Amino acid sequence: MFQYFKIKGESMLPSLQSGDIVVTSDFIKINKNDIVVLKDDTYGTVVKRVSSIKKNYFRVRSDNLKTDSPVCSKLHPNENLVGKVISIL
Amino acid sequence: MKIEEALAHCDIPCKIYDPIVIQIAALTVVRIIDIIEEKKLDPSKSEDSAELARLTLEKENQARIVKDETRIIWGDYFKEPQIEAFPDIHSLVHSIMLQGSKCKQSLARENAEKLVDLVNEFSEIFWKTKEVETSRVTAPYPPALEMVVPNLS
Repeated sequence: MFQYFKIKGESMLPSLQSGDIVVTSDFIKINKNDIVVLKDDTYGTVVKRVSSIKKNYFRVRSDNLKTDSPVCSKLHPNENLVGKVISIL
Repeated sequence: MKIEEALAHCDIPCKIYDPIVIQIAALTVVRIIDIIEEKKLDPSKSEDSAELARLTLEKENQARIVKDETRIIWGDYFKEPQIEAFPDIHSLVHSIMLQGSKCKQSLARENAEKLVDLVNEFSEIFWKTKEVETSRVTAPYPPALEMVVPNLS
């Protein structure tokens, strides 16, 4: 399935700017360093970059090192993955 | 078409980290050791004994602050991106822990100077993670040792 998301915030600068529209796909297997959209139980729909992948979960990071996100210190179960960002419109 | 928002922000409060607290505590350890040396206190006199106890207690306290505050920044602020960029941070923090303990255990000034050096190194890395340039300046107060300050404009 393809989905569209509007980016809000600056934690993914310089890759993504606030206001960018991205397209995600859940058909494509994710790899380390892919930008993904995920559902976080606390923070909702979040866009981050994959920093590591294990069998049942993955971790993410921000591109903008000036920011500090609690989402980046959590393990995210694979079922929380919405999709890989395949295009920035 | 309504497009859902994907958050790329970090909107939780209380993310104020600054190693200046650690730096001042480390410099204070040196300063207290200097004061103890300068005062030539005689522990056989009750007044001197009380002052020595007070100074020693505060030296312990400041060394503890160095350890506590370093652990907080390392544990709460440093996350995967910062650790990937500065993989030596773990061994540096461990060295600060050990050096902080040495300062609690002795009155050797060189131990406290080493603690200041390590804390300066930690501060430089911290500011680099925020892409903030730093300078090494002489502290404008005793013990007037070198300290790292961010170049904020």
